[in-house]
Amino acid sequence: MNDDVIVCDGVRKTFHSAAEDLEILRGIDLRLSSGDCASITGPSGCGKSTLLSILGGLDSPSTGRVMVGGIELSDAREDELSTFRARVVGFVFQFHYLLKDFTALENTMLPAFMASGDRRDAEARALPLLEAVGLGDRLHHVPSMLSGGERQRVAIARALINAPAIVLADEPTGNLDRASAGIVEELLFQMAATTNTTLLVVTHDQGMAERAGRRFMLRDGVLLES
Amino acid sequence: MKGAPILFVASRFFAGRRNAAGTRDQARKALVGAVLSIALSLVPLITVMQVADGMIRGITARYVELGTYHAQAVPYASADLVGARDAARNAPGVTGAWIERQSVGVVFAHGAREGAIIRGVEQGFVTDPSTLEYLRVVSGAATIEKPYDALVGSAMARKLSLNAGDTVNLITIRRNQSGVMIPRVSILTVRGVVSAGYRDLDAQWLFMRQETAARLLPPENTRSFVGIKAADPFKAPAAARDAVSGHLPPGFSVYQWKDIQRNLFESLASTRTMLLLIMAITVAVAAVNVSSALTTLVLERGQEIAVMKSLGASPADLARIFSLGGAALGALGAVLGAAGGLLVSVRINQILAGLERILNMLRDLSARLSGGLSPAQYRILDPAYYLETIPVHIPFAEIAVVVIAAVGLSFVAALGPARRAAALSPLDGFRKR
Repeated sequence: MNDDVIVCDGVRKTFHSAAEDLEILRGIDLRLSSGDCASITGPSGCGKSTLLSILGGLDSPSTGRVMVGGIELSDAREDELSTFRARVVGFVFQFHYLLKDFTALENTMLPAFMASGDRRDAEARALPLLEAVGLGDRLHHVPSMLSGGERQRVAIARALINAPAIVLADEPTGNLDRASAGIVEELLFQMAATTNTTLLVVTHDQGMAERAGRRFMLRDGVLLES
Repeated sequence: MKGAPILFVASRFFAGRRNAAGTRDQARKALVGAVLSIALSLVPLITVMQVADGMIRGITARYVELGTYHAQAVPYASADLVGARDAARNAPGVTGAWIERQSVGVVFAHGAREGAIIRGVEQGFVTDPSTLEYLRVVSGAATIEKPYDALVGSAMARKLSLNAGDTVNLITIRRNQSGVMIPRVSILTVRGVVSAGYRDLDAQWLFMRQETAARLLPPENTRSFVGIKAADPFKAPAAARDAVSGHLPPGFSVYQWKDIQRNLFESLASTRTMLLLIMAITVAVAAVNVSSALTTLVLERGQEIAVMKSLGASPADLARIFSLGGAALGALGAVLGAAGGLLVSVRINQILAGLERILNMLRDLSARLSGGLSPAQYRILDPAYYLETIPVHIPFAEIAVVVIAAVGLSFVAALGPARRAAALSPLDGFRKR
């Protein structure tokens, strides 16, 4: 039985400008199964984040087929993409992107609250996640009162609250000091493994990349598995 | 997204928390400014609405109760006025009916003269409660029991230095059989000085008995009719006319008060409408402030909008957050503005009096410093043209309409920024970092 949760066939992405057309992805083929842990490395500007955005339904390919979590993203409507982002994927970005007026608890529970409309249930699901990332005593702190590593841990909890099939992490430790980066990396891999979530990490950190079960390199718009 | 999370996110986006420095960001300041601008635009609107309504109602009530009556039965020719009056009094719903004869003349007293509208009325009209509600006795008594008794308006009394007990000469012009105009002088005794509180009326009226008026006034220049009063003339303007319809003897036409002074009443109403339209422009401008404040918020919160989208918020959810937020801003501003407007409206007479005192103090001070004479007292609302005090009449239903309209305008003004938020690409939003 085919349990691929990420399927890319011949994905190309071209950015058009007045001066030139820049083809950044040149026929990406990728298949990841449920529970896979994968990393993508590559030089800056090679299109890693663009590929992740396409897989997360935040961007669309110029050509090619993208199916994530059984949903065909290439021709999905905007409302279908919203539902997809709410239920199928969780994002962890290089910058935490927490909402500044919301506490750690509110930031974490927000995706669940948005999906179900039940605040009490969303909070009940957020609390153990925040405990798990070691922020049980920081529930009511707003992002400005948290350290960089703590903010990124809240972002991980937020990415996992709706129990997504896939977590897409774009340089999740890129902005952190070594100690915080280690904690965040550990949490990310550990929680993905615990919940059998497919994890795709884009990173410059070779150590982190090698920790993934499947390792890819993006170079000159082409994805190569090592 | 369901309503609860939309309200939750909107409340945080719009009300938010203070930042670490204890201040609010630029967009929040703009939102507070938008709320205040809505509130401040509604204060004058509601005040003008109340003042205009109070003035119009006050002036109209004086015209209706003291001048036009609620309806007039006007004979075609020399019809039986007494019979018509008695028939009107017996008609169901009629609270009073009196004969009146109106003409013009010149009043002389203490070496001065003044043109006057001579109103030959019945004592019953003068002492009727509906009349006395608006006709204040300044001096003497409201009585015209003897044939040559007269009541004069307070403004006329001031000009002619008249007090109760004084005598005045009334000159009327009569045309003889060969067409020659002959002046006729009658001496009347002022029994009372009365005031309607509206100088326009107080400056022109001289009341005398209708029987005397029938003898003294030239019939060719005298308008005789039966004045009729019924229930509340504002709630049912045609009530008096309808009440006597079919009860009067032949030879009479009955007109309701709105038709008798149509030009005046329409002029007052159109002035009010024009004032309100001008004031409504300020509300529209305030709604534009809502739009620009929300645009600032959308621009400032581009990244958070992108985050919301990456978490699964749809464009429609974002549009709802910002459009409802805009309506909420409008509602907050409208409630504050309505409260402020009501406060000013209820205290308008005291506020104007206070302003007049301050202005006159400044004028006096300025005159003293410049060594000149102190100028005449300044009046913001000159009672020569307006009522001496503004009747406080709060148009609650209209205020509710204004509040709803302000919320609606704010909602409409928010649609642009809401669409902008909805259309924002998540990637563009993330790039705003």
